Amino acid sequence: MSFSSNSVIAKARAIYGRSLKADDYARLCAKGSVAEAAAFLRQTDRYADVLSDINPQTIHRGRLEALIRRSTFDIFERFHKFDHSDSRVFFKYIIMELEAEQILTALESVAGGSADRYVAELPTFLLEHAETDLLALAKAENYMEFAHLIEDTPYHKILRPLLVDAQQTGRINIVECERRLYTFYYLSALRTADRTYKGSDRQTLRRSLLKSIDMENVVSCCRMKMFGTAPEKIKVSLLPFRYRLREDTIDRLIQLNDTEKIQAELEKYGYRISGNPELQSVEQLAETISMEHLRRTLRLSRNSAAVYYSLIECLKIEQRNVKTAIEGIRYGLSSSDILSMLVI
Amino acid sequence: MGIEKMSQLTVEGPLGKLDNALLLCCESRMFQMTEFSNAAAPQNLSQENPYEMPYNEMKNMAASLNITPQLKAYDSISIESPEEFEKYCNDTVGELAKLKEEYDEIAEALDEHRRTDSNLKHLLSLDVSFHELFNMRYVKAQIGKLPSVNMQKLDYYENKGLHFIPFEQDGEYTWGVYLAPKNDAAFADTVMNSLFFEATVLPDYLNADAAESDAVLEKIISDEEQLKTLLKQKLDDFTANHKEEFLAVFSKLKHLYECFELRKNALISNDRFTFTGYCPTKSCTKLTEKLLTIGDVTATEVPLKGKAATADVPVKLKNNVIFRPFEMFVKMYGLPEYGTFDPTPYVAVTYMLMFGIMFGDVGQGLAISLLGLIMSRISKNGLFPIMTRIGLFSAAFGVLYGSVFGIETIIEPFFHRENIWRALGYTEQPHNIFQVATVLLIAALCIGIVLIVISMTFNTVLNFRRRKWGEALFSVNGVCGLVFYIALVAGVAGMFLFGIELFSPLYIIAFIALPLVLIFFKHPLSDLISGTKHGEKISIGNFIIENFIDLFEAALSFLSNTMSFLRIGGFILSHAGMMLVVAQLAGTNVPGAEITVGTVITYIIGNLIVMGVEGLLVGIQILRLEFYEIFNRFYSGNGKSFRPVEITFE
Repeated sequence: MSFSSNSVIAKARAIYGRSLKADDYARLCAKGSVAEAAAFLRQTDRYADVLSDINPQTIHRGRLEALIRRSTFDIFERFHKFDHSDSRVFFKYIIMELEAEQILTALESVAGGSADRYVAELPTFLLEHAETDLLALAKAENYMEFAHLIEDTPYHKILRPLLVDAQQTGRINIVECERRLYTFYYLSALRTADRTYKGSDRQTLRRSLLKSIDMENVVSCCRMKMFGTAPEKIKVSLLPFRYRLREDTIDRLIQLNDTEKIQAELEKYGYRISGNPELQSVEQLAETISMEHLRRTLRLSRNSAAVYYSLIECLKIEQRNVKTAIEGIRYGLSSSDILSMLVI
Repeated sequence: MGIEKMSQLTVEGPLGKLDNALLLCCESRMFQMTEFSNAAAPQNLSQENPYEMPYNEMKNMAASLNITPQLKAYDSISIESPEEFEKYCNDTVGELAKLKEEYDEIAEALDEHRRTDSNLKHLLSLDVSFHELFNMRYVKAQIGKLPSVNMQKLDYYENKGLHFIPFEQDGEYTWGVYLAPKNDAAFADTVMNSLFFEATVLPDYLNADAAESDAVLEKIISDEEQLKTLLKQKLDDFTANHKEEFLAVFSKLKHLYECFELRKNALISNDRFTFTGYCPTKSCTKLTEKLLTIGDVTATEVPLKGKAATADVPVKLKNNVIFRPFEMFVKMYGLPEYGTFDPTPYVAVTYMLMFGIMFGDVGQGLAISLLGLIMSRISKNGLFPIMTRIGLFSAAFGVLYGSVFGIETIIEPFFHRENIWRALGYTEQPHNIFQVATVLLIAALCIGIVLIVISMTFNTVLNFRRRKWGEALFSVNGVCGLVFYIALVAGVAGMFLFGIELFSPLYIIAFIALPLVLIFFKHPLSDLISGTKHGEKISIGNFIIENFIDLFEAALSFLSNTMSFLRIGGFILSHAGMMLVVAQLAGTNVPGAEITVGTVITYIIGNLIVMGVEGLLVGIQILRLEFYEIFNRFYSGNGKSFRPVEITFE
């Protein structure tokens, strides 16, 4: 193992060590207002830097969430400057995932006829790193203009047929767009893992990526079922990678309605969670399962790429937790109710 | 020296005298109250504390007035009942609240104006009056700050009638004004809001341009500052005038409040109270006499004998002035149980000796001692008195090693004396301590062996005293362990140091194999002696495996514990090595070297670093030896500390 790998592992663990703990979440959820939550977050090691300039009393919730998102990105941007191996490779994928998310929002804006919300929520830190001119996408008034704007990016090839179709029918298949963008993202990541790493390093990283895909598929499956999508359509709308969850498992998951039953089914395939937490949703279940695996990898793995990938995913979950907590506080939920929705 | 003898004290009396009795016990600082046990008593006094409300009010008041609570004599205070205390609080608080309210109002207004002024400062380049700006007929204008990162997003809104004019960039934000047609004002507000624009709201009277408004605001701020200072002075005067009386009232209230809390531990029957607790025997008579003065209150003392005492009896260590600071290390590990043995003197002697040996230097030792002496006058940190003592031992051994601040030419080292180096087996005089390294390491091992043997002897004697025959005779740290260890050490020392072959078959069977066999069968043999059965039944296979592993571990621990003491010798060499580096840096390691200012400075800095780093390391290493190699063999540290009831604001 190279010195650089060791330093990536050490730095990733140090960053994870500064992330919010169960006690911090409990204290955050006990706050009575967004201002108090902002003041609390400003005192934590994790968010002290990014929130140093804000006035907790006047900060807008959206601005607070944007800064929290930015702080996670900053970590990887700094990592990217510090390390020239694994983080360089994966920084591209962090950008790619955020870019895919923004392209989907921009497409929804075209469908909705106004890009105001898209522009307002567009993370500006992404603009200088993304392959697509994300701000220009706001100016697209129809799907062909959109296709033209992404012409020089890899997304053109995968989205063009859908955009042409949407131009003719007037309706964009967002679910398929999402599936294609994330398939492209995971496929690129898996190919990079195969090209860059060998032996057990490659296996460990592939395992981490495929486990994430399995959990994404579980969530998509349940979400689509909730919206009344037909089982056949659900199956073709999932990401086309299978790790532990084979076709027959997917069939069974489509039939299950209850989070507890889904949990029991997933346990058969080794997706277990320790303890017996009361889970509110399938999303929470999937993230809790992922979190256990990610934490284990972060703590024990000697594979720097897998550790780095786990850090990315852990911080994403933390970001969602903070967002949920802030929303919960804003809507006046009790601290126990908010805590029960978090992945800790 | 050792553990203070304790007595159990039972206090009885009429219910009306309960508070007086409790107050006396608190004031004596020599009585630890036994907590009330539900199963033991018919009734106890667990009512709501009526002093709680005035107590909390006074606590808050003390915080508002910046008064640090401290106990004061309160004989002159006639207030008694909770209602009277509440009245006192209300009267004083009423006056204080009025002043405080005025002060807070002005402070708040001042903060608000300062905030507005700091916002206004970013807009000084705006030469239009605010009145004109905010009262345009067709255009809506709003001043404030926008996160700079969102500036690039404004291009998108350019064709939608929204214009932002930046004035100044300050860190993450850009200050400016946005303009939009009045008809599209709602849209502009929504957009700017979504871009996290923070609007600055100006008071109506600031209707001139930015520079003029700034001047007006500065005048207002200056006036408010003066008023705030005046009110602060009034508050301080109020505090000064009421402080002594306040503290006396608060002290009395604190006593009454705490005593009431202690009532929960008293048992009540037929309008009479009883409470029990522990008191050092020597102070019992004095406390009993005081309690008797209350009238109708009786106190019964039952001295607690070591063997008969229960495990709940608290422990108060009693040592002379030299050893007392080392109680800190014993407490750190755990106090001894009542009726057992206090290892403080043993720790003190071994710690001071080992520190002296490992860090022997006359100059540095005296410096540490002096620093400890000065600091113990200033600070209550328990390490400083220890530094005073160990520094003296360091100086004493420094004389032996001939080292004064690392200079070895002032005093003759012991190994330079011919009779000594010849006795140590050298044919010529060793020039420095590194040449006697082997002797030092052997000496370190000898110290370790002696300390281990003493610790095992302690364990054996203590177990004999507790009548734990099995432990005393057959345990690894009992007679068998002692015989095995001494025989092994004697055999090895005889073979390598004196050329005497002790390991004859009879010697091996009697002093090495037999003790090991007895240790192996410790449990059945102990049962045989005590006539009791040992715990659960285990199979023969398990018995052999368990005891073999225990025996193996014990044998290994003898070896590792003994080797662990090599660090004593190691640190002597390390100390000498570090001082050699200092000498080299100072350039005094060659004969006839010139002493310059630089040499002196290097020596001072070098000595400070060595004292700081190595002194700390040696201190920690000795503590490690005490806890792991010595305490492990005879000491459990399961005692409970003596915590007398007392009233304090700390």
